[in-house]
Amino acid sequence: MKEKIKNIFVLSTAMLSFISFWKASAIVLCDFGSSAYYAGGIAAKSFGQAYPYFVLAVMLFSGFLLMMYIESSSLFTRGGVYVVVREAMGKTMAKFSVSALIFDYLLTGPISSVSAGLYIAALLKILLPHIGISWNISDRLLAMIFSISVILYFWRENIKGVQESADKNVKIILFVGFVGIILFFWSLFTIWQKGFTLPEFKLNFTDEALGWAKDISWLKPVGLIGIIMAFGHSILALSGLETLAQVYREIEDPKIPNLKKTVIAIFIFSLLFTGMLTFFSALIIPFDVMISKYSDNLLSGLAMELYGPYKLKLILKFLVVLSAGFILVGAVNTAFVGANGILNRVAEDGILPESLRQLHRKYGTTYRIITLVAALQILVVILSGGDIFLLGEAYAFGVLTSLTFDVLALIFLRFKKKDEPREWLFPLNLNYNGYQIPLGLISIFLTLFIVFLANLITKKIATISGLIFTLFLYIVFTISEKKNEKKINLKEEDKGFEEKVNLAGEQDISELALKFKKENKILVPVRNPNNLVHLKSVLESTDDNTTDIVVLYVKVQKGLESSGASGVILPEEKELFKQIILLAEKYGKTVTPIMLYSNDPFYTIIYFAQSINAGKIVMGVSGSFGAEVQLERLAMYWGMLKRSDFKGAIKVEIIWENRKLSYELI
Amino acid sequence: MVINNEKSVLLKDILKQEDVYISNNLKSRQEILKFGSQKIFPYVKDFCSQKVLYEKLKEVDKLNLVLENGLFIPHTKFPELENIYSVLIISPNGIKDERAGLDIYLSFLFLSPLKPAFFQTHLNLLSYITRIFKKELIDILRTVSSPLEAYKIITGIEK
Repeated sequence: MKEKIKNIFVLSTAMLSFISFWKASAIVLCDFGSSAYYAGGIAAKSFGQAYPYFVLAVMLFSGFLLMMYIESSSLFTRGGVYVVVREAMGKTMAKFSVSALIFDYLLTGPISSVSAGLYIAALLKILLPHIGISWNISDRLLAMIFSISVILYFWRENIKGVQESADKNVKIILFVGFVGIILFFWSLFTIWQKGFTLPEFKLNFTDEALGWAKDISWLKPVGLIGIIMAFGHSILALSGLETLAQVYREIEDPKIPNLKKTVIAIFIFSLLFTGMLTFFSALIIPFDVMISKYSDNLLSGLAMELYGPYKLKLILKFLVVLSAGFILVGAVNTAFVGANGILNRVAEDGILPESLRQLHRKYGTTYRIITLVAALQILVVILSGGDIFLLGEAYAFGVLTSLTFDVLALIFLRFKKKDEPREWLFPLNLNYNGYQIPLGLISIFLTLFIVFLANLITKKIATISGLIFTLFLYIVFTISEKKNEKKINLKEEDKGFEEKVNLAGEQDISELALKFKKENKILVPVRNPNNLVHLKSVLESTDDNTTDIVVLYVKVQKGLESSGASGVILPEEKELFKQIILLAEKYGKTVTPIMLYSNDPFYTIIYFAQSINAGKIVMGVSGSFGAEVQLERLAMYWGMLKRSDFKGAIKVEIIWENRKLSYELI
Repeated sequence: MVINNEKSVLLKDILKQEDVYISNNLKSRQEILKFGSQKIFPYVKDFCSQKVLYEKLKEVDKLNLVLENGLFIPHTKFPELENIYSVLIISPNGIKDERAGLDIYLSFLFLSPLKPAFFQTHLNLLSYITRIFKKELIDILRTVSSPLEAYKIITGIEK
């Protein structure tokens, strides 16, 4: 009888484990929060001592953008700017938007790690002479070496999978928060002791910061125009928000409530850490000192200018540099996660070669994409020569472009998909003729668009490099897409599909059964990707903390003894697994998909259920047999296979649209 | 033979001694159904003709299984029934079933009430039949010399 079952495979991807809102916040903050370490200095160098007002304003503005991501995530579990723009405005615009976003991610790693390197260099300059070491290495060279090392480290970590990195990110944010609290309260103490003068709200743009605007006589950087330009030079502080859309699919159930908690955590942290600490820096550090000594390590400067004993300040500086190292280095990881996510979406659409999505045999991650991202980031570091201001200028292009596209797409979707249920709507809407006119979103879009136009004019290098890169990527996407279309037209045998999901072979069901350690087990047989109502029902109603949800696909093969069951997945089976993963992500519940070969599916279901000690089997209705015959067959095999040591009964449910049959096999 | 929607079912309650048959004359699955329907017909004659009974068993048989141990369980349901009725047919030499590619040695044909509340009992019976009639028992039953002997063996196991 056991010969009825051959070859057991467990499906694994990195995407079947889910994370708490704390971990999700940490992943995003490791990019978004890290801009505190360099945004103020870059803004100050661009337009002078009014910089803290604008950095704080950008942080307040980020709250609106975070809310925008709640609405877009409620529409798309696997979302992000590419998916949203594609659904709203089509593939062409989506390709442009994602090109800009990739530009953003490719700069995130270098700017963060170079900034960390500069903090370390500044610390070494102070510490090493104390111990008699003469330090002559250029700050930028050290920053570059450090940056490349960090990129390589996180390249390896990401090959291993997201879960590991998420745990580390939480520890990083906890430590950074600890240092931030010390800085915050010590700054308040300093202000109390020394008093303060509010920085003058006066904009003094450098020639570089004006870009082409200095040659346009009517475009004077004063008044509202000056404010828009200054806001544009501070906008790089918004980087990292897109990661929220990528991470959403991994947030555990209940998804939208946990996403809201994530958003609140991110907003409060970044407002206090980036916004207020930058403001305190402006209150405490004289502007000329800041520009000459601390423009590329602002928070270190804040530590050194606080009121108190020098040695204590040095210790705090050390902690600040350590926190800079951790969070900025964490941002490199976030860039990998984000870039990997967006390139996966794009490759799924055939806009990148399928071969890029090949999964690592051991870890199940898209290692080729991760490696490509690492290589490009290292190239950026080398080309920049470790110049944080150059990187900062270019950085804003990608950030702003993708955000602008994102908001515009959401506005489009309010009209295009007006009947699509949304768990949350961005506020300030006018109900007209069945449409929710998004006045709030339109205001946000107009703000972003005006700042985008200002940046095009004022940031020469960003505009030139950003446009060239975006165009280059767009061409690559278009060529790839055409090639992939040709392949489909010629009906070439698809060799790539079996590699989309990782199948790990298991020797025996009894060995596999040992992996299911939770108190309860539910077995969910599946067959048809269009008939997963029963799986959805299980995911809605089951607590995966106490229950192993095992999804079983029985691949029927007659003549089993002579066949070679190789683990090759057919396109329709790929679609089935994809739908299973999408459902699991939508509900944030962990499932274990199993595929095995058998010549008798009902026998296999009962055998497997007994082997793993399942308390319940939940099936969809069979179009061939009907629910009653399914139950009868299960009952017959139950009687035939029931082990003497299997106590009690097993519940069987057959679920289909609006109907459920529930019985016991005793 | 009295079942009043009890969840558990014993064979001695639904199978009479005189409803056990040994036959080597049946040559096919269809002939088993015809023979079985003739023997079980008296229990349903008040509301069903023999032809209708046979046709119904044939129709449902499209979805019936022959198990690897040679057990065949043709069955159907009637709304008019209040109890389960059954006949047992032993085919010592086996009957080749072309559809299943297996030999049928034991056929347990039964009729049960078509009532939603009875379906759990129906399922319990099916699992009970397959649990009782394992290969070892079927091999023993193939060697008995009389239906009475077979009946005693079966009810003896249930004790």
